[in-house]
Amino acid sequence: MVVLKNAMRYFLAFAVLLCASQTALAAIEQADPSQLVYDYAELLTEEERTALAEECVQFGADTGLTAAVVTIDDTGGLSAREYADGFYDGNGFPDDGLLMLIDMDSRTVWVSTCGTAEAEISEGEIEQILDEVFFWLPDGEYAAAGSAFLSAAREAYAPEKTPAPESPEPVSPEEPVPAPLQPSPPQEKGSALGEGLPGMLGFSAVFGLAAGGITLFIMLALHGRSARTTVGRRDYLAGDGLRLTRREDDFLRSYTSRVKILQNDSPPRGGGGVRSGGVRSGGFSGGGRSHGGGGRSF
Amino acid sequence: MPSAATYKCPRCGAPLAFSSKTQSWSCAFCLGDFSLEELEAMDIPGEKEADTAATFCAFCQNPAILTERLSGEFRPAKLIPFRLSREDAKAALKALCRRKPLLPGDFVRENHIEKLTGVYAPYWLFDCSLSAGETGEGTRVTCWSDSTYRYTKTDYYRVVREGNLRFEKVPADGSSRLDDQLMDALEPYDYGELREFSMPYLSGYQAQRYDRNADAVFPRVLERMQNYSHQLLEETISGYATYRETGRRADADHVSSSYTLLPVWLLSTRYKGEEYLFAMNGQTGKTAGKLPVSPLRAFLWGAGTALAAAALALIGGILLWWF
Repeated sequence: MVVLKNAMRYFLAFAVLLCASQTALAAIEQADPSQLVYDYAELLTEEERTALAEECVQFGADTGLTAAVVTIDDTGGLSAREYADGFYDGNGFPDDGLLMLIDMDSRTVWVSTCGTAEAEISEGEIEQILDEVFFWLPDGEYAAAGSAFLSAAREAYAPEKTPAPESPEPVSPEEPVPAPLQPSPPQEKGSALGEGLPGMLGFSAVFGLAAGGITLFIMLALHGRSARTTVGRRDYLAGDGLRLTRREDDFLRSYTSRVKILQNDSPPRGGGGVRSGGVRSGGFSGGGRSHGGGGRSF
Repeated sequence: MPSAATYKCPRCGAPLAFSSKTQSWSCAFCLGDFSLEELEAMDIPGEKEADTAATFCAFCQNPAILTERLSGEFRPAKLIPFRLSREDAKAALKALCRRKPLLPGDFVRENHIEKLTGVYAPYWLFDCSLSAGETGEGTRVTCWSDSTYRYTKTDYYRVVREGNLRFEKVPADGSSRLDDQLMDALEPYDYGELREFSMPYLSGYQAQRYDRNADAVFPRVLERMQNYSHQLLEETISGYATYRETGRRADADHVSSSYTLLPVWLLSTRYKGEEYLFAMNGQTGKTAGKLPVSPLRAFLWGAGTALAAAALALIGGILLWWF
């Protein structure tokens, strides 16, 4: 009995801590919700990454589309197209947008489009975008290539086309951006961890205090538990117990109210929302959206 | 004031002690064994010899000369003899203290535990008939809907319950020196072992006589029985979505009380100026006690868990971040 109680206590503590670390983790990810540039192949400097990211945000504000740039040097056997489409879907980018992948593994650049971007940007226009991008590739000017991608995409999408009324926020708040689908090289992580660390420390401190307080409270409660009354109403009851002499359940009155049933107007939220997380190599199952796009080797 | 009586072995004159294991009186020297009838038949010259040796008062640990007698109005009607020995009580106390990490380290000391005292505590056992009643309002709710509306029909009922019941041998301790809440926690006693009072039972133990008589103690018992009656009546009310009580009463009549001694092992501890009482039901072994809390240990436990939890959360967060 005592062993079971102790075991349950440890288990409960463990479960609580596990949940806590998840929220601590979420605290980090919340710190960087607008990441649009993923430079896993480390082709850009820190400044170039930041500048490009700002351009992507500006692009989003101008066109209403989400634009992302990804560089990778190991796609784990996937084609550039598969990786680009999967990366866009698996990381919860909104329905309307496009992504450029610079794949150093197969030395391919792939532009993936989705939603209105797919509808409005034709294959020919994608070739034009690639032309612009490829101008910079032979010299290894990847930052300029990224910029070229954005300006070409902006022209292709054309200002007179009504932008989709989406918020410029590139990542929907409900789906924090987790790590990319393949086990990626951990280069980018150092800086992100540094940013998230103070939040983690603060959270851990608060959590620790709460855990300590709860434990102490429980211990004190159990400590003073040695004087509990255990007798109840039946212990000293004699004979056959309660003998009812009067039992009445008399109906008094009735009252009926009614409420009009409201019709529900808003249609259910359309599908196409992709559940992020758990999407590993080879399996972009989980509702992949349709993508347009094109690519070219360099 | 506590009092004790000593019977001497008719064979060798050594003091006889009641053995809770054999429920008889045994002599440690000549190994004689005697029953209650034999002891009562013994012709004890004069009054029972009051033990005038200094002993420790079970409650305040002051040495006391025992002079009180249990006679006249203070003669109990019945008692339940001890079933469990001092060793049993010591073991129970140690077991209680073992699982208490907040207990100060110097609380459980062997020489202190030796002061456990077997005491016959004075109780009033009440037999009481009650006539109880309750009125209230109950509702039954039905819901249905058609294409336009959702309907809720509420039927209101007047609920009346009245009945008679009887409680027997409801105990209440008659000593102001015994903490009522603590003694309540020792219940229940098995009344199957109730015996007519006889002095020999007390040998080897202390006995306390009452300083609160039946009338003084009855209000507490009445309240308890009224609560029980109320609960039992409410058990008969069912089938309502909501129920609201509008009135209740419980009147007692045919009240009788019996002055009874019940066996308790007691240990009083003085720790940092406060008094802590440990009690064990001398028949069933049920324990109750208030134990002190060591502030140092409490702080260490709290801070320790806090740090461990914080560290784990931090590590867990970092680890999960890497994957």
